[in-house]
Amino acid sequence: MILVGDHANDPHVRAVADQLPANWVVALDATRQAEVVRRLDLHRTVLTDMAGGMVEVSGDSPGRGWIRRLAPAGWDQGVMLGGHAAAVLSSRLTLLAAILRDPSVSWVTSVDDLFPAENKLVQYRAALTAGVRVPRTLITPSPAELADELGAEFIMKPLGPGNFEDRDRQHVVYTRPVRAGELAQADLLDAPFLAQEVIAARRHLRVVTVREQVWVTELDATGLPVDWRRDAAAHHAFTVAEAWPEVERAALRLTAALSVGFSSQDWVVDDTGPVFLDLNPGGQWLFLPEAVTGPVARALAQWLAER
Amino acid sequence: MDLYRLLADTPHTLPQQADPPQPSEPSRPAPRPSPTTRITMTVETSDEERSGALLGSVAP
Repeated sequence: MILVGDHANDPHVRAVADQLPANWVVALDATRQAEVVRRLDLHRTVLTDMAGGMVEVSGDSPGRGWIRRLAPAGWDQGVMLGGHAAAVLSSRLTLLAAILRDPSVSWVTSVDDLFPAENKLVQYRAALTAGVRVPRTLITPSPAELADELGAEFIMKPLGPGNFEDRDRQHVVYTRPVRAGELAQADLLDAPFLAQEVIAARRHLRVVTVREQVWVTELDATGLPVDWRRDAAAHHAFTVAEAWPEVERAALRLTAALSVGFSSQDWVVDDTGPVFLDLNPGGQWLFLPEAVTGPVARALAQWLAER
Repeated sequence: MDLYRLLADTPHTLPQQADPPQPSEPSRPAPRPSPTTRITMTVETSDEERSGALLGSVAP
């Protein structure tokens, strides 16, 4: 079993690893290959497991794996493109990519399905095809066109990361309503964002899927900002929800359309009903109620342990 | 001005659920031409990793 993520610092990786015997479990990411990779040739890969023993992955000894994160957040911070450090990190990623594409390993979500599934626009197209309601979405260099199509106020979401560091300070782009006039001095395609209609959310839903299993949790949106992450208490206020069977079915249609075996999804519910906002094939779930966190980790571990 | 500069806040702490995108696989850099040699075009027949040229960029 191969767990791709930062076992030392990521509680999600530990939550799954703790369900599995240390022997036969490999914890690996792009920063730990020197410790874990023993040998790779064209027929087999030999890795060090968490008990210090050797695990061989080959056609005669296939395995299963789960990708949480290829490398820790910030692992390439400050690295200059084209420089020596960049070349080192690039070579590590390429080796990891080869391990992830070993035909002897079956993945919860393969790396080649993971990357497109992270793309919001790919998600929305898949959602529409699956009959899932999504916000009106538009990318254009014209603020006036955004206002014409989405309303006087609309949401701007980055297509890139939601935060960045500049001059030793962290900056976060929260989801919030904006008006066309605020964007007049910006080049909207320099760092492309997608624009969406504002959805008047009554409830936020966080939906977690593992293969064919699904868990729905909800958060009352009353008094919360559009981006509930700005409210510290909201991070621990989700409760288990059992009143959304249509969301459960839709969430699984979406994961099937995107070929992802794990997802952490964001939905909202307005006066019309549920609306899909985002899916993360490597997303977090440990901030949710314990009635969900344990079963999710066990579901992942059980699939990994099957032969 | 880009939209990151325009719309970003500077909170004291990052939100817990700020999982950044996965690092994308590197693409092969274009060969630097020698000033004394003619440039020849090569066809990369099996390179899948063309996108995501920037380390740490949004996944393709």
